[in-house]
Amino acid sequence: MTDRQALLGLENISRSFDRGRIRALSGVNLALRMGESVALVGRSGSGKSCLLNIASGLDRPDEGRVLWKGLEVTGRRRWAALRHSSIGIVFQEFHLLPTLTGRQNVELALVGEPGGDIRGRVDRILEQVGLTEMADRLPGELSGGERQRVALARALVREPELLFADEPTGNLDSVNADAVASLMFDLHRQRRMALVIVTHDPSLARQCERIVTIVDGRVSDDRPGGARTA
Amino acid sequence: MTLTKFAYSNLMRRPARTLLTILGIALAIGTAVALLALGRGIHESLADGFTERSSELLVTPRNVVDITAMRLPETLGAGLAAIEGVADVSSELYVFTSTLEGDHVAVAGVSDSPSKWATVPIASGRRPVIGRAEIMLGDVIAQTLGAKIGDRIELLDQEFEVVGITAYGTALNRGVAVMPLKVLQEASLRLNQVSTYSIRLDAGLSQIQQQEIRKKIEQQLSVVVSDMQEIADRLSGDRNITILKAISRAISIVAVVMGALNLLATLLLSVQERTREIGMLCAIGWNDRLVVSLIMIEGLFIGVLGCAGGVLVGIGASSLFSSIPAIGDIISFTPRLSDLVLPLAFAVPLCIVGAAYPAWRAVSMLPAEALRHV
Ligand SMILES: Nc1ncnc2c1ncn2[C@@H]1O[C@H](COP(=O)(O)OP(=O)(O)OP(=O)(O)O)[C@@H](O)[C@H]1O
Ligand SMILES: [Mg+2]
Repeated sequence: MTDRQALLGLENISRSFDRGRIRALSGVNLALRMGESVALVGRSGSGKSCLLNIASGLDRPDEGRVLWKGLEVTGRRRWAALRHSSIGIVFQEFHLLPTLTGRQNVELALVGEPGGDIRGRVDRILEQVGLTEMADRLPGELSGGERQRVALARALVREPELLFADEPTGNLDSVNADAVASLMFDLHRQRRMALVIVTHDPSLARQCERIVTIVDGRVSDDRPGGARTA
Repeated sequence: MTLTKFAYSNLMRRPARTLLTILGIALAIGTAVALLALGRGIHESLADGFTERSSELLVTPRNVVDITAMRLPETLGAGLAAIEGVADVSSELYVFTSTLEGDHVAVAGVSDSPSKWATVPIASGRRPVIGRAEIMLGDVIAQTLGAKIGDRIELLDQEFEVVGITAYGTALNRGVAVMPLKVLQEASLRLNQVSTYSIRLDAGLSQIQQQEIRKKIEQQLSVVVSDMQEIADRLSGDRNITILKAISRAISIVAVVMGALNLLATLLLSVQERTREIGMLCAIGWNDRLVVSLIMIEGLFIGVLGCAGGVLVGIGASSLFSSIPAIGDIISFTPRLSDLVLPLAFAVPLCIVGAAYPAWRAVSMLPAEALRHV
């Protein structure tokens, strides 16, 4: 485990809102290694989403720094490039565009990509998430689980090294939640993609190699989960 | 899914709003195009009209630009004729009046010179008999007044018999009534006065000789001698026309700015509505340049269609203008490519600004903030 290379490092991250009145994160340190799976757990309001936003550059910390493979990431442009090349994100809300088909929603992640085999890449990822049949439906014509699979395909079509998933199954019934979760773990294993899942579901957390618990904006516990380290 | 296709699909999510914005811009550009064509039309119609009436030189009083205010003594005619090189002198008096019904009529009194009357083309009927209360009408003014040959119309507190319809081709002259000079002088209480003299120089004079004669006339008789293009330039310097042109220009600018604001408002609203979406695009790897391009393409799409529509509206409005009697009687409209240059030169940069600001707004937020936006 120790010999795996560092992927993302959070160093002494603090973030507050409302001019310091709400302290969402205080002095968080966390190191993610390549290909590892981590569950981020903790009470509602403990700061999990905030941490994920900072770790993916969607938000800025007040203090501390974020390292990608040992180098500090700064600036909007650098973060956009990193999300473009190496980081995928899925949210509890699927954030699909209602007027675009499932396929088109996935294609959005490849807009501006120089030519190549775009259609083939989209087809392959749609097949992997099991949506080939439903690719041309609008989100309104898909179930919640299917929508989240579209969002997952959109996050994965560029084959990121790291996937952040903020309560990806939070809006799904247990059958759909299991399907989406096992899909994520399959891809995590197949592609050796690092995976960080925020979840309230203990059984989902136990499938990860590591479980990090956040309490009041601090890491209070960091221990191995049920999954075997690869 | 290309950026352009995505931009188009975004606009089509609110087709009515997109269409209304395009229409708003089209109306703005169209207004500007039509108004600028109007200003140009006034000038050109004057030049055309005067050229059609006589291809000679026009003698007018100094320092007067309003043609109805021009007064020259009838005795000046003899002085002009006496100058060497002047072959022919005729005079005319212009009076603007109205019928009892309130229709405006421009009346030209034409001096009793056979060569002058020979230049008045006849469509039907005949020329007035000198000394009688008879009048010829341009076809447009005849139509406006609803008068035919044989009808009697009352002008300047006097009754005139319509004896002919002129066959002038320019809008200016088609709206003019023509009668003998003496009759008009009496009717308008301007005895022994004329507005302008037309002179023709001896044939075969060189440019330099012509210039010298013109200079001599101007010096000896304290008048201005102009050719037809010059007279049109001077008359367009008339205060009313200058004001009209200035107003046209001002309204054009306001219209185009309003069009651009319209685009700005629409895009700003649409960017605001899509704040979360833009946050999502950032989350799936879009950089700022791509987001800005998206909004700019959306703006460009509306702007280009608006401008294209504006050109059509402008041309349509120009032809509509011509059919309004008060305008069409005086001005002919032929929209030209050059009328489009100015409004478009204004509109395009304004539309770009109108799109750039919302685009900048779209990327001025942290993605996390955008995603949390409600
Ligand atoms: N933009 C914001 N403005 C003000 N307070 C915020 C903002 N974002 C987060 N917070 C606060 O920061 C704290 C942490 O929020 P965060 O969303 O990270 O919680 P969480 O652990 O993800 O909770 P949940 O499990 O309910 O999603 C909360 O107290 C929240 O109210
Ligand atoms: Mg959360």
